[in-house]
Amino acid sequence: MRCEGILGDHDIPLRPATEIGPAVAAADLIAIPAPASVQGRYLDLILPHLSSGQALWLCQGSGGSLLPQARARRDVLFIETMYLPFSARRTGPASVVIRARLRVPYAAFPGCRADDARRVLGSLFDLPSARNVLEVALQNVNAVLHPLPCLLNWGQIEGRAEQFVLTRDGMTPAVLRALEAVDRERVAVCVAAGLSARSVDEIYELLGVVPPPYRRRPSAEGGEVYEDRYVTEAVPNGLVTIASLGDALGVATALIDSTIRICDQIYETDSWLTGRSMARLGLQGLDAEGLRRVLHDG
Amino acid sequence: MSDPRRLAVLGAGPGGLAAAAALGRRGFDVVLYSRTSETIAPFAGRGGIEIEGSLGDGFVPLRSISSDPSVLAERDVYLIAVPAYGQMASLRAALPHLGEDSTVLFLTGSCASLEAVAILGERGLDPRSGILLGETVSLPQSGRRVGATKVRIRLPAARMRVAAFPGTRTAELVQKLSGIFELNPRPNVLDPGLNNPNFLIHPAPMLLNYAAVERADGALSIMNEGMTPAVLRCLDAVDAEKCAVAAAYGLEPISVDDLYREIGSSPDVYRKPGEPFNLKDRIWPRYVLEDVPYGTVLISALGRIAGVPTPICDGINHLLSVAEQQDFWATGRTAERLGLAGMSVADVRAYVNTGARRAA
Repeated sequence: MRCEGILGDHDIPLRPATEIGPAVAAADLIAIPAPASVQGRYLDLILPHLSSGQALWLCQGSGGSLLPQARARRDVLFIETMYLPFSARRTGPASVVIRARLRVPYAAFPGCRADDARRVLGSLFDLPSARNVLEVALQNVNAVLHPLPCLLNWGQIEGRAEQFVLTRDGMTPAVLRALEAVDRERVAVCVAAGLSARSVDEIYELLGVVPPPYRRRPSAEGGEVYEDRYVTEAVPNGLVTIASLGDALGVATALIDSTIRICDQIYETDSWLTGRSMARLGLQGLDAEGLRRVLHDG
Repeated sequence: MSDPRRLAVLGAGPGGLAAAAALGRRGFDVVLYSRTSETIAPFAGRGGIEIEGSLGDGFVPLRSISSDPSVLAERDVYLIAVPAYGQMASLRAALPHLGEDSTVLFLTGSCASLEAVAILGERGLDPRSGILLGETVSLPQSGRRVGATKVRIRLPAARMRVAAFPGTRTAELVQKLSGIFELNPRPNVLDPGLNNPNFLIHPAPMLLNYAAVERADGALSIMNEGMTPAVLRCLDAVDAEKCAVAAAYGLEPISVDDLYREIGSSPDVYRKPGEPFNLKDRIWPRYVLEDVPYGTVLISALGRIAGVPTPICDGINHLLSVAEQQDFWATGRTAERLGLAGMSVADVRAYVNTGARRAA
């Protein structure tokens, strides 16, 4: 395929495969860039073909390595990041443009294999490390950026989505206030869990995106046209995780709870049912110390 | 006409003006009072209200039009026609003049009667036995200011849901108001209180169009431009929660669509773009500042007592509090403000029906 952009212009030879077994057999690292909502299916397809010592990288992590089918494979090294370590856009059937690097934090599951993860992923990308995959999941900026701001703009999005760019059209003072308030709830949950207390602004700074997209001038280029998936991914795989962890640790998340419920009304979804609650991730009934232990030891 | 009843209308917004004009037109002795002298000055100067519309064209002189509360003396019936956040201030303006023979009626009450009990108590007035206290679900007719001293009366009068506090005195209240209004008696004030049509159709659309309203600096016709299918789904969810709460208090639920038909309007107002009555172009801050603290907060508060989940109303209250930078849970019509703190649902039902403070 053709690759252009900040890494230069290259023709990259690829070996497309249609059978998973041969494709992964000799791989040291298998990357699954797909969104959280389909990770389960990819895990079901790929895990039977993996052997001990191989590493599986969930690029849009959201705690996917904690799903039951992944937990059953203690012999596989799981690595999670919030997103790919770069922003890119497809420009044709076999071409992409790499627009920017993103210094996304990464973590291993189990956390005790952090050194292995650094060896595997660190040889490819210069990325900051996180305590564990739950910390990576809780620093997913999409949960803060998309659901509530889109909700507050919903009357203008529905039916006209292709004209709406959230960071260009949707960031009024009240929307920004709401985004910041949701982030304060998220940070409070992180603090209670003993995880990084970085604000969303600080996460974007870590990523290398300054100013963050919601603070750019409305005329700025580069924002993406609205798509339902930005919200329908971020609610069950981002907000539900935060709210569920908050419930477990006694941290109130009234705004996040409200956003989940009203987004479910808008999109006719049931995010608590389908989403990555502590129970879905096999972390139910644990306090902060219990979580730390499970995430470290596996 | 020689009806001896002396009426006072408190509030010179479109609702109060229309009420005063309609009653004056029919020959009643009406005083019109407003706290704001600027609002009332043109009418005071004219000595009455010019009208056009459903009741014909003409000029309606009134007994008095003033922002001096002394004009509220020696009235029999006090009709409070102000936004919910002004109701108790209006009551206080009338309070020195109220007696055991007075009748106080909140037009579009939103459970104002319950908040009024403590204030009347300051004057030793007890709505359980002396002073008559109640509220309606809507205005007797809607009005629109079309000139400095002119009001267009827009809708025919509809039989308004009404109830007294306590509910056992509703028949007495209806009798006292006989000939003044066409009334539909309901069991207790929770019925008209929970069914304020504005509270049901404004909050969800305001939340989901909040940014658009902000960008337009309020110059947006939300009923024309903001009522997408998902917005209507949220509106219907608010209404469903209200109906569940009403049922938990033993009331017969009525959908917002049926309510609109009942008051002589149509659900087309919010379900079809293009408002039938040319109401457009400016969002009233009231769509949030009144309809949330006195509407969705009220539904949430009564729901919480009754153990009825109200997640959509709760969500609206939380999110609009952040957007507006005002804690509507604190400023709104909560159980505390309604005098219901610590009551069970059985206690509340006994209280609103009979005035007794604890279920037997």
